[in-house]
Amino acid sequence: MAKINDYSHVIRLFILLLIIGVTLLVLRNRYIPGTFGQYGTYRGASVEEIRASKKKFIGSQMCKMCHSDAWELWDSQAHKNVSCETCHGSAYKHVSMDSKVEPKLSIPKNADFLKGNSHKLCVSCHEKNPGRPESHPQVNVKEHLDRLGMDPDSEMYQNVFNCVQCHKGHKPAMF
Amino acid sequence: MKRREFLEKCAKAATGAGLMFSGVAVNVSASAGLSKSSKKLINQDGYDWNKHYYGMVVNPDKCIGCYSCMRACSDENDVQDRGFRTWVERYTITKDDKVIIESPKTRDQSTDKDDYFQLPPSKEPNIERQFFVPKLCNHCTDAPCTQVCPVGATYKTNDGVVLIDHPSCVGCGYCIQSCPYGARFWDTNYLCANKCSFCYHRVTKGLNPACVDACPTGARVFGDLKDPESAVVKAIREGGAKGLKRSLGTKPKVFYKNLSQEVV
Repeated sequence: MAKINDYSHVIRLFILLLIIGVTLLVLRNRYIPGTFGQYGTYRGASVEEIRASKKKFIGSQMCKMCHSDAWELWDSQAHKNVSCETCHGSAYKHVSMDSKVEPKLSIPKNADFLKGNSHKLCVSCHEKNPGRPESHPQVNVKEHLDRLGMDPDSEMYQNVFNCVQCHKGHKPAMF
Repeated sequence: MKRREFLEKCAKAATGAGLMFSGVAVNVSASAGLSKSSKKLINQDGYDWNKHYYGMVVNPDKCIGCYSCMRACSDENDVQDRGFRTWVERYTITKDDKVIIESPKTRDQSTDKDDYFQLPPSKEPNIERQFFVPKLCNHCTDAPCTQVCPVGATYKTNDGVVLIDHPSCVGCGYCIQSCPYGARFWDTNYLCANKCSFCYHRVTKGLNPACVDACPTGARVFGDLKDPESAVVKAIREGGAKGLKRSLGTKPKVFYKNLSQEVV
């Protein structure tokens, strides 16, 4: 084999690798977030960020503080397993102390939905459906309305007189 | 000149190697310093994630298909109608043994203004049996989704919840493809993958996820698997609780009771 006298090609290669190595390390330090690898191969700061989200549903116990009459009634009747916010919507704005966010006594958004549109809310649980167990109270809405002489497509039913006028939400059983 | 040349070359090589390895040394020592301090979650309110391990039991027999859980989740987690972190599927078995599986549609997928979010009543004529199955992310112990993320944007916490770090997601969609339960979806607003987080911001403060609180029949039971008095452990001990697609080895932590054989 011939003797090699000039190693400059090897030196150039090493210098090139050195430059690439240093560049990669600099970029890695700059662009990978500081908390990456704190607990595992993910950005550690994100755990606390996710934990810090504000909760929107505050739970039925909170409603009792101001609405105790309605709460006592609700808790003694058939709908007691349906939380307040399931029908009335999330209450975080309603109880918020920050008056810049929303007026303090704003009605939870679904309450208006109930007065005019209870026919949509109530049927989501109580429309007769073969997927629902027989023990669950359900009614074929069309037949129910026919029996009462009402038309499901009428303005009357859609906006004025529907489920809640007879079946009160907090005390659904009529008799 | 040979000795001088040799020493010069050594000096250059040593400088080069020193430069190269100093970068490595800085990195290694930095990460070692961090990991020593923090296997415990650093927090202000004293929550220790090593003491909890969350799971859920779902009972499709109790589900009435009211979609309250979907509405509550959508509200709590700011998802609206872009996708579903949790959803309720409807299984219809006809008299001639056909199985029809329907899932709710998002607003973008719906064709009619009223048929998104809630499934309209079934028009199938020969129904033998029909039931609803609530579904959500199973927060698998061996989750495929956390293994495939190329940027480490999804991970499993020490308390067993699989979370997504939204700012880090680059949108490759690999995790969405990899989930065998279809729990992940592409969020068109935040431009990242999105999925159920077990309401991590609620459960780490002792509350239940929004869907569990909203369910009127108690079809969803949530709790700490490490706590023998929790509702979820009691529900599992009653027997018959199994995860979906067990043969895939994902070890899901959402267990279903009285699972009918048609459920996938």
